[in-house]
Amino acid sequence: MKKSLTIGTALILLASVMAGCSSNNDSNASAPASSSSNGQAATQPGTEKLNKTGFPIVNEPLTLTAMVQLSPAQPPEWNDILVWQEYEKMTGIHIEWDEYTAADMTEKRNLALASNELPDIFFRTRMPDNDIDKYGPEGTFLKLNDLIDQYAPNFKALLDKNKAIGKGIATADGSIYALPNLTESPSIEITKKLFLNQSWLKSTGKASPTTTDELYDVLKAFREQDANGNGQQDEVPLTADSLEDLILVLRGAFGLGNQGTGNGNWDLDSASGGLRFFPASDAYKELLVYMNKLYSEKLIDQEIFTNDGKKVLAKNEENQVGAFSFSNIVARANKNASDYAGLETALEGPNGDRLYTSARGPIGARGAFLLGKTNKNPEASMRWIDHFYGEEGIRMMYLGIEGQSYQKNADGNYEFLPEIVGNIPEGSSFDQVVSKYVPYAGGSLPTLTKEAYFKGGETEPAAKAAAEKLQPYLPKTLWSPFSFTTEESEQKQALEADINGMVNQRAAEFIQGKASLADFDKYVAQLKKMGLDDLQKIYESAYARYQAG
Amino acid sequence: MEYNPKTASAGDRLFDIAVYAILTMAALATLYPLLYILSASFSDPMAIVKGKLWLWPQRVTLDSYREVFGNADIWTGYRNSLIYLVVGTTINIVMTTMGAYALSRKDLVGRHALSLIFTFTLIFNGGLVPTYLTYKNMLGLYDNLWAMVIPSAVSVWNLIVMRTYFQTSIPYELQEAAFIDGCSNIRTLTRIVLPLSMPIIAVMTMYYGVAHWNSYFTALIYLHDGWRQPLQMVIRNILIQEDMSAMTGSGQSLMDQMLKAEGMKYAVIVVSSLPMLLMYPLVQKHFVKGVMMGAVKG
Amino acid sequence: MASGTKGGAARALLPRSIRKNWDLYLLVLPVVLYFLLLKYLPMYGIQIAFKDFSAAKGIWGSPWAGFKHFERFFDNYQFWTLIKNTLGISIFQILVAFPMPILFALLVNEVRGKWFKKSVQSIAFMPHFLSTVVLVGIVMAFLSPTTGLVNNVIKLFGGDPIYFMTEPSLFKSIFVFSDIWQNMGFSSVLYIAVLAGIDKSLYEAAMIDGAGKMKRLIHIAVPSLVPTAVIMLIFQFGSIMDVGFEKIFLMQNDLNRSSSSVISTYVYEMGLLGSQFSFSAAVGLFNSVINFALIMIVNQVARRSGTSLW
Repeated sequence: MKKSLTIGTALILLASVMAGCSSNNDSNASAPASSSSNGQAATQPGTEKLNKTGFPIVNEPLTLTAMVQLSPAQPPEWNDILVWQEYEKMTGIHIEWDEYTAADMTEKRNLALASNELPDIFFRTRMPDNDIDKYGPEGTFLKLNDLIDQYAPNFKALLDKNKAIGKGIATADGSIYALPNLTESPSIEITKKLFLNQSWLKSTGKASPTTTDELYDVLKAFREQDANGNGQQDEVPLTADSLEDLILVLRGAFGLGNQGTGNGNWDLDSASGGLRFFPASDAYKELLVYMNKLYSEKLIDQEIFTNDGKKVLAKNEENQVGAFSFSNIVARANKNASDYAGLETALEGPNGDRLYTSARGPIGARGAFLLGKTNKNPEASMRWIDHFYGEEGIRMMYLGIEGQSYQKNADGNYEFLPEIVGNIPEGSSFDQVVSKYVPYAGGSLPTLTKEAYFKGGETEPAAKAAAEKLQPYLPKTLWSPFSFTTEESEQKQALEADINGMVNQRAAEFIQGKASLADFDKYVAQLKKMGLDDLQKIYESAYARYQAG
Repeated sequence: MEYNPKTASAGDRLFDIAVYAILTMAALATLYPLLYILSASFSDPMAIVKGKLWLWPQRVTLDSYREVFGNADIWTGYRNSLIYLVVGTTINIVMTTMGAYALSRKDLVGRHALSLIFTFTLIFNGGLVPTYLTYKNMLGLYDNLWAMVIPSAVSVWNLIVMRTYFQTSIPYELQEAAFIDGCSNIRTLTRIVLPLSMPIIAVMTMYYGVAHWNSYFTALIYLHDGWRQPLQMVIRNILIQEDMSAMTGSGQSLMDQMLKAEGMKYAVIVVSSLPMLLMYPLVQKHFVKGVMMGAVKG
Repeated sequence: MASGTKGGAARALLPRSIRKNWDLYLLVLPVVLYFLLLKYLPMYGIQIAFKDFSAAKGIWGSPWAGFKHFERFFDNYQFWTLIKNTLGISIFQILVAFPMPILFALLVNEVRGKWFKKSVQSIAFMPHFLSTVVLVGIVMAFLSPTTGLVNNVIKLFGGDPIYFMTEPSLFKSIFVFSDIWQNMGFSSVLYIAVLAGIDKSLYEAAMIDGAGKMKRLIHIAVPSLVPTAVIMLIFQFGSIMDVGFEKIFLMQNDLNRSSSSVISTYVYEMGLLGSQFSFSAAVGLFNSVINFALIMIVNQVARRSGTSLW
């Protein structure tokens, strides 16, 4: 009996492998069948099936597959969102969504790309720029230039209006493979802002700082004069989620990042006008000296190197924070949100720079929408998405359907219906409630984000007010990300993994004081040894193309 | 002969004191962080972040558990994980025992070569994408039960450990005697070797079982449908937080979510490991008792 | 494949022993099939390391790139730092963490009180179930310079708080000791089982000979653990280049980077900017070659002790 048991399991195993094979044939047979049925519908009756303008987009029902990243606030079935149900009725196009959370997205996306099992549409899949540049020319994605010209009047109008968009989304040879997330809001484009505790300013008798020296005085007063009035020296004068966020709000005063954040650590040398890797500049050294002074006098959070958002929030809850850097107030200071306001003006640095450089151009994310090469209905797909780059579509994306989810108030502003957002049930959040109607939660959608419609953190009144005060001091030009050839981007990736890692490490060491700033030249020499000059060449050729393009 | 503390020598008594002292200290050092986690799961997340938690829950709340169990997928996750564990571990034990026994026999021609060939796969592999393509397109291991249990059917590590146990802990003469009695290999394995191997089988069951229970990567790559997802995948997705970089939602919502996730992080540990901790004593009794060789000789 | 030719040669030489033992081969057959189909079949993918993998062209159709990706890795400025940190953590792990479960099992085996024995074992077993995120989370909470338990004790005795997580020289210790805390009990189960398998008559004989507890431990318990421990040690050497990515990554910050950047975190950083299948395949293959060389050498040495993998 036991003998038969063992043999039995061996057989089960073999059978299972075989059963696996046969079920595999089934799935293989069914997968192409479904896509080819779409394909035939589109190709055989020709384009009569497709309406070139207006709705519906197609005269016969059409199904497209799409991969999308699900926000935790959203229903797990994307088609449960009101906007998608309504849009399907409008267009005649049914989308079969494949939803993945942020934790699974990278693996699932990479697997789809590498195994060439592509959905018709990559919709907010957080496609990295380098993957667009690599897989696009290889033929994994459809080239969109002609489709945009013919089927995307709204998006084309945006391209015509702002040249920076076209420069930012095209690959090195001018091809477009991805439609971006675009923004039209200073408060979003000014990515990190410095918020100061106004009641601490009052209790220490200080005015809102206008120079880096004044900021130092204010922070020092916060620490030394018991700004929170609890009799203990537990004040954390300046903090942020990370050191990077602090550098972002201070660097402009030292003239660093003078073309915005579009290309990371690169900007223009004001003297020569040439491309500059600013973490190797003297001005950067001055920034580090300044921040080292703040840190060593305990004016910067001593835990900044291991900080995160929760800790900033917790310290604010205890009224221990004097100033912090983030995109909005409420997500980091809840109980005492009303204490905070942004800077009155951009800080002026020791060399007279009054510039605010934690800002980017209109491109929020480059790879928000791509078409897989196996998509048999690129025209319909392009028409389908183009709606969301026009006024009505944008409103639909962010507010839903008039009368069902939003209304236009007497003053001309748009708002969600009070019965929807008026009483948010216990244990639920605003985002969860509105996500039954609109798909915007999670951001980075292929659309144009406008302040009038987007009801998120960055457009809350205090954040908007802070942005307005900084706006006059933004760089004249804000670069879009440069594009690189496949060869360049491969080399660049290897160099940047080393060099940017070293920059972050040394910045932390200099600021903390573990490394002496007398060694700054050694650090620059080290960057050169790691291949900074090669990286410079790559960026220079990309910059030349950018200027020409 | 039973141990009797009264008749024990001074050396033995000192030895005992040392053993108990060291183990008590180790147990306390292990227990404290575990209690911390348990308390954290019943605490207000803000209190945890603030560092107010020492031993007992702070601002006691069941919110984290309510949040975890509020997710309907938790129960399907439990059910799926249990199925993968039972089916997977059964296959593991049968396959591993068969392989380990064969490899332990000196009369298996090429057993050294086989061990080497098996071990080679522990170190070299085809990489994620080729493996995915092979499993999915050639072996049909995609989005079904088999995809969850077959890829991990035998662990080289466990196979060799079990083989070593068979070789060193089971007297070879016993097996020889069985052969002289005319037993086949399969009969020797089931009648002589297995009864003497309960401790190692218990351990293997536990190691394989825990590995199935804790694994999420196979599910991530080889499962597609939501209703098939094991508990670990459900949990992974419950804990997801919004990427805070830009335009993701309202500040208030993002903050709530961040804090909630902090509390749930601890609650899910309790929820997901409880079944394994409850099962542990069942397995444990097999290797605490030990075996008496004499009992099976006759 | 190698197994086929070897098996074939053996069959020609020893047909009778195989015929007699046919059921032994039947037993091992499913296992062999498993390894062939599920492990060896996908190994055609190793070629990606020598190619410029392009998804559109597929694995077979992608152009050859020779040793380009290996050179990129070797020429890397941090190459030796990565090797040093990776090996440093692995060797620390082998020296300090590896013996712990063995010691623990030996101690537990000496306990006669059933209740105590089971409780200690169960408690030690539990931390294995913590996810890496939670483990690192509580390590950081306990070691926090402001609110952490450890630093509060230090402050109580008048010391200055230590910034554990940002101190490169402490990184390896925190990594290894938290690993011991988490996995010692779980790994010890195997050794406890082996100890449980010892024939009780051996102990009885020793007691009659008047051997004390320490003597019995050294002369009966320890030798019975040696074969299993040797096997485990050989396996440890076979994964010397693989230091778990997730835990390191979660513990890493800009200040401890000089001792926390390891091969796996480096590959991750490269991949962050975009997928790099060929490069990560090359790094993976390099690791495998080193691991394999080590496992061969250590296995050869271990053979003298009478226990080896093959």
